[in-house]
Amino acid sequence: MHRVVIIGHGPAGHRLAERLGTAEDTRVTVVGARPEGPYDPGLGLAALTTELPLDLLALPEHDQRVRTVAARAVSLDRAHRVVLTEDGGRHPYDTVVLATGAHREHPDVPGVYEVGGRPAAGVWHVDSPRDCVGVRTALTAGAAVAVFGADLPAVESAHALAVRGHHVTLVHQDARLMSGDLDPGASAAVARRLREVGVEQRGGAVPVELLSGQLVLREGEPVPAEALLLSTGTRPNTELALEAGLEVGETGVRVDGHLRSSDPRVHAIGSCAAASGTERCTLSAARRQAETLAEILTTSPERRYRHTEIVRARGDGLDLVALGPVELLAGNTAGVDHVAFSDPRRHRYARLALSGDRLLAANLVGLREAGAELSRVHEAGSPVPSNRFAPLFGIAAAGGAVSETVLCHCNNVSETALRTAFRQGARDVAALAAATRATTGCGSCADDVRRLCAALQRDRISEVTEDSDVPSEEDAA
Amino acid sequence: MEHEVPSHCPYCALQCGTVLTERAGTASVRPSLFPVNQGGLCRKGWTAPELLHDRERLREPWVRNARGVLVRSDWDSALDRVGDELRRLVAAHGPDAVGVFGGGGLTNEKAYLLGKFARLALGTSRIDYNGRFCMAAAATAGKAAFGLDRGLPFPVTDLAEAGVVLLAGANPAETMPPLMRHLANADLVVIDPRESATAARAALHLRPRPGTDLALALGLLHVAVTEGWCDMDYVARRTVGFERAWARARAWWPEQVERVTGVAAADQREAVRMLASARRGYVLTGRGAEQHENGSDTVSGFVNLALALGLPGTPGNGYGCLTGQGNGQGGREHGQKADQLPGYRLITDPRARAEVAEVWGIAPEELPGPGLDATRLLESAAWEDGIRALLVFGSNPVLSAPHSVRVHECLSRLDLLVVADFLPSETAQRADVVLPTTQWAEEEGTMTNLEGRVLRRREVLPPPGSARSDLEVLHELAVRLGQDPARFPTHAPTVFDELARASAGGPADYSGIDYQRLDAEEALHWPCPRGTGESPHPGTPRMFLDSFAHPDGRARFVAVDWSPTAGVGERQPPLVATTGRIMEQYQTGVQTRRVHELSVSAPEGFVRLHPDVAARAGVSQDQRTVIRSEHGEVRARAELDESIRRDTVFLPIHYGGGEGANLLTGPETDPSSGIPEFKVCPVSITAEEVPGCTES
Repeated sequence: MHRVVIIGHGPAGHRLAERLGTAEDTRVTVVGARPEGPYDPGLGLAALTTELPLDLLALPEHDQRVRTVAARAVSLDRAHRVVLTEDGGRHPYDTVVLATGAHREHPDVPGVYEVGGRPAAGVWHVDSPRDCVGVRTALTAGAAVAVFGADLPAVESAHALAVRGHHVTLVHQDARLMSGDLDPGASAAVARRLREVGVEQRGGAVPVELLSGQLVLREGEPVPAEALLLSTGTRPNTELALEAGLEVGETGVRVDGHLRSSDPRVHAIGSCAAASGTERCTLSAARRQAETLAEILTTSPERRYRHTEIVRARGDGLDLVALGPVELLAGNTAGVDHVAFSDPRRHRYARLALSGDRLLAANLVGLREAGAELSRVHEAGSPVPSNRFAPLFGIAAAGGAVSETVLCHCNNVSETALRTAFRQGARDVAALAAATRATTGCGSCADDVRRLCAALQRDRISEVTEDSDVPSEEDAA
Repeated sequence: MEHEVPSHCPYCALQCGTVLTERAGTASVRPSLFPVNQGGLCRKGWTAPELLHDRERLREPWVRNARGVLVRSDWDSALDRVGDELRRLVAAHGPDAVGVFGGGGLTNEKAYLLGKFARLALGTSRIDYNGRFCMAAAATAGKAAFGLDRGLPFPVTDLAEAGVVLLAGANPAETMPPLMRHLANADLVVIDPRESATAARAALHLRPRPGTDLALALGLLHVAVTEGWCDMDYVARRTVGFERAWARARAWWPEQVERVTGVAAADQREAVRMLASARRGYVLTGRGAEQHENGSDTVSGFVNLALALGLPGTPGNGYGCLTGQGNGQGGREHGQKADQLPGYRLITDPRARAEVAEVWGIAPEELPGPGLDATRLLESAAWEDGIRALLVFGSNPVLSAPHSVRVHECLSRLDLLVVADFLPSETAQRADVVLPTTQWAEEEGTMTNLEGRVLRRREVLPPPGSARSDLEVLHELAVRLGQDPARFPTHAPTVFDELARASAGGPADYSGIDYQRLDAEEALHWPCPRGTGESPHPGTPRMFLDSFAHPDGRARFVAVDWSPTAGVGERQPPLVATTGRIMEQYQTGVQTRRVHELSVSAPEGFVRLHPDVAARAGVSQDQRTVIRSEHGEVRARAELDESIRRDTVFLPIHYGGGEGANLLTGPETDPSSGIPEFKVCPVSITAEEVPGCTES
């Protein structure tokens, strides 16, 4: 029996336990599982705008073979291969997985946190699904909300709340939005997109105090804030790893392609691991890491985790995609071509970095099909379309060359065939149908045939004006 | 002298109403005002009579001689040879050494008698049919969700009132054109990786990467829940299992689905909005969603969406599957399926066994248990304890089964291959004994169309040569196997009456239907139990309005999830082949390729691919290409199409020889329904080298 201890029960730890829980010869213990179970941070944004009961946000319960321990892990004893928990519990392992997540960076603004670190009334964290339900329930229609932060979740939540009808101000200290993911042009396009749905923006602003109902800035007018939503970043939670003497870098516990730390019996996934090479670990990356590790630990030890950086904003109308390293979108790197498109009035922007027909990096704003298509190209490592504008503006559905006009596709009846039948005496739609079978399939060409028939009748009348008993179907439709 | 009879088109499951006119021994056809087609008919239907007089029609039995050549024979010799061989094999290896392979084009009577013949005269468990290749996934998912599977649980004509219809992997504009008459008023949401004729008419076209349909379905359910479109009152009153299904769909937010499927998140939202806000809405699935190794889960994904929106069992709304084959519905109800007895009952259900055994005059223990699904049945020819003889009725597995290369190998191992058909199909050409049968206009019988309505087909012409009805063939073989002749009647109405009795009490209950009622043009949709009072049961055009067929009356959400497979990994193979249908042809083309008008307009196989893919492969329009997969290769003409995805090529299934699409497909099947993977097959493509010709 292979004993796996998972430390941490966020999205990464949960997914791993889910995948490993039913594997043969594996005994899974999750340490640090809160009794009420984890909530899915992936649903927080939806909970901001739609009335979702909290139980819909819960991550599913595990198979009964998975043991969950509520107590927090306090030590990882690698020499004896045992995890110690705060309740004095000892959990021996063959493999241990660190899924300890990240700590929030707390902004140092008076009034935001109470003594002891609890957030003050009206202050919420965007990364907590419970808080998202809380803020939605607390706010009255049209209430003013301040969102503090310049990262992706800040942008997403500001957008969602504004679309829901709140008076939203996005406050951030950076010069522009999402500077780690976007080039200046894309940042500007996102800012315009937010403005369009009514999000006011106070960039380069330093909050100095949260008073009741407003966030005071160092300069300028205070921001109305019946609620303050915080999205000010996180740092990997690596205390346990450091204390256990594992290699830890700036962006988390160092891992190799098998998500293995400097100790081969210790793995790390999610926000605490440096698998992505950046400080942030998106939910979808955490999920993939968990799924990949489950395979590595069971069926396919040779599997490797391959990180593909895709930043995809969530929310209807935001349509923001960032692929690959943003540095490649700027300046002149040898062998890198740029394709750019900017449409400020419609808040659309694209910049691609290419090497031959390979996509290295891209920023796309407001181009929904392009985002979908280029994400796939990036992920699959396939060549970009030869027509580089095609994915930016949707796929041109140019039909093949048609030698003559076919009116009835079901029965393959051309306009010529219908004209011939008319000449041979089929003078109304019913007669044309009987002679050629046109209109008798799906029926969608009936209008076209009726129009052609009417036109042929008109021609015939003008040809033989003396003939007065020609039936006219022209107005029959 | 002319005489006219009302009948139905021999091809697809619409079973368009026609009037057959016989004049001096030749038949012609015209559409009738039958509600399904309302005077419409497609090219295949118009030209169907041509097949009655086809030059290659099988007129006499053929038997392979000692030198391995098929030679003309007579009925007694052919039947005796089959009877002797079967007796010998059963005696030496047991009844399971004989396999029976049926078809979804057989009449209800034939399908019923074939099942009875297998279980009773042969005593074999090994019977299955080609519907396993097309209807099995939807049938499995339909039964799981509703407790019962009827393709459309409402009449086709109801669709005309729909505001929005979502078509998941269905292309009726090409495969069943007259159906489009009922969809003319609706806004269509079409899910298809290529711009099919149906997609071209869509208000919204979603083009998922092949093999990711389930992820898309999960995304649509996610949107329905998180954007507040769910009918939570309906979910609470009429369903169970929502929480478990949601626990899986929860992780599939639209932007995540976009990454897997390539369908823009905004389009997913739009699709749900359209469907949920329509006054009347339907979700319909076709082979594109179903023919996958996760086919039944994929259908369940779409059923879950329909349930979340409160569509099934609500007047003017619903979920349905567009059945393909002519008797694809009836063909799966009367016992030619590996796990089923007449009345659409499970062969493992002791009560069903007892009831059917009583009608058949045997003890329940004499009935064999469940057999192998069609793909395994064919494969078993290579097993130690597998089949050594195979009887094929109305099917062409040489082309229609997946992994053709393997199928050829397996068939060549058989001691005896018998094919009953009316044309020399690719399978018949490999047979040891070929038995010529009657076709639609030469026989009496019933078919059940895609809306569960039972229809009459009628004889207007005598069969050519000495061709006999499949019922007669089964009768003769049964007698040679020592059966009481009375147990295998050849008179279609008599068989129908027995079938109706055997179905009594089952989900597909025909016991209140008889030829008199059908001939009086009553519109009878099953279930139609024998009435107890004065007036006969009127049939059930619309099902589930009060309750679903599970014991508690509630529909079931099924907890399904998408995960990558061989064909659709994270880093997918650059190119996958997906197989499908075109307007001019039907099934493996055995019939339609012989119709002049159809073969002129669609004479040969082709591969449709994006110009970018063609350019990389060095292939131009109309050039001969070689498409290779792990399992085999196809040679076909290139057709360039800007509207197809750059990671997908399309091949039609209607051609044989080196153009058979199933030369590429593999052995993977869906574990719950047995349907093969026909829609995702990693391939590479190159230009065909012309021997002795060098490029200048």
